[in-house]
Amino acid sequence: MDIPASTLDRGEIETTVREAIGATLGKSTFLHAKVDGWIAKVMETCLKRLAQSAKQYKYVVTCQIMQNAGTGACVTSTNSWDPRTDDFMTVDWQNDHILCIVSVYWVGV
Amino acid sequence: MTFEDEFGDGEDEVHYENTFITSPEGYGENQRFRCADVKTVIEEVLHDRLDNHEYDPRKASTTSKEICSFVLERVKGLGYKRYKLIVEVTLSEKKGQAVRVGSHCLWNPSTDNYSSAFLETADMFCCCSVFGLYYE
Repeated sequence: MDIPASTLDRGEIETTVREAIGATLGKSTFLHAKVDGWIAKVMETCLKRLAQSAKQYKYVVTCQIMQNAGTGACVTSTNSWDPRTDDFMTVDWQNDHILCIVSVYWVGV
Repeated sequence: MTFEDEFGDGEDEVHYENTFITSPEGYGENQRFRCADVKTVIEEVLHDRLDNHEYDPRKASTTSKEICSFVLERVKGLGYKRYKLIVEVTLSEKKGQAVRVGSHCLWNPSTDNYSSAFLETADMFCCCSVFGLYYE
């Protein structure tokens, strides 16, 4: 049986994620009280857009928001899956006060 | 799923196709993703690799890749035959900054699950999450 290759457009996913982050964080400074809401909003926006494509994938979206204190952060991932149908992408975004890293993984069913 | 080794010469690729067995129990006992067992594995790897170590920015990316691969191999060793696994590790130096990590998933909640653990030392912190997605 031919396995269809991953049919999600990486460019479109990156645009979606960047728009979600920009709309949520924009020029904000880091505020403890708002971080949970920001994370939820970014991920919900991304997942909604991915679900609308109605393709046969399971999705995992992770979001990390960190104060921009001049330290670096290493985000690494390893996967055990079918590389013909499954893939991921990571988007990092920062302003003077906030560092945001969003990873989107999609896995064929 | 394929089992091609990322770092060295690959084993022969093995491609699994759908069997349409809708529940992991269809493959035998102990085939469902168990969060507690996976969390134990993650904690052991983090403690082994990071306890009594100082943060070195030149080696941080290598360290996080090592943690990823150790966790993946140990979780594969738990014997989940039909799960696709995603391991994500975040490693950073502590400078008093606040950090928040979250995840949202669109999956089958009756078969798929995740586990995560967090380790903090004097000068760094590490967060590791493992997501297990059932492949019918």
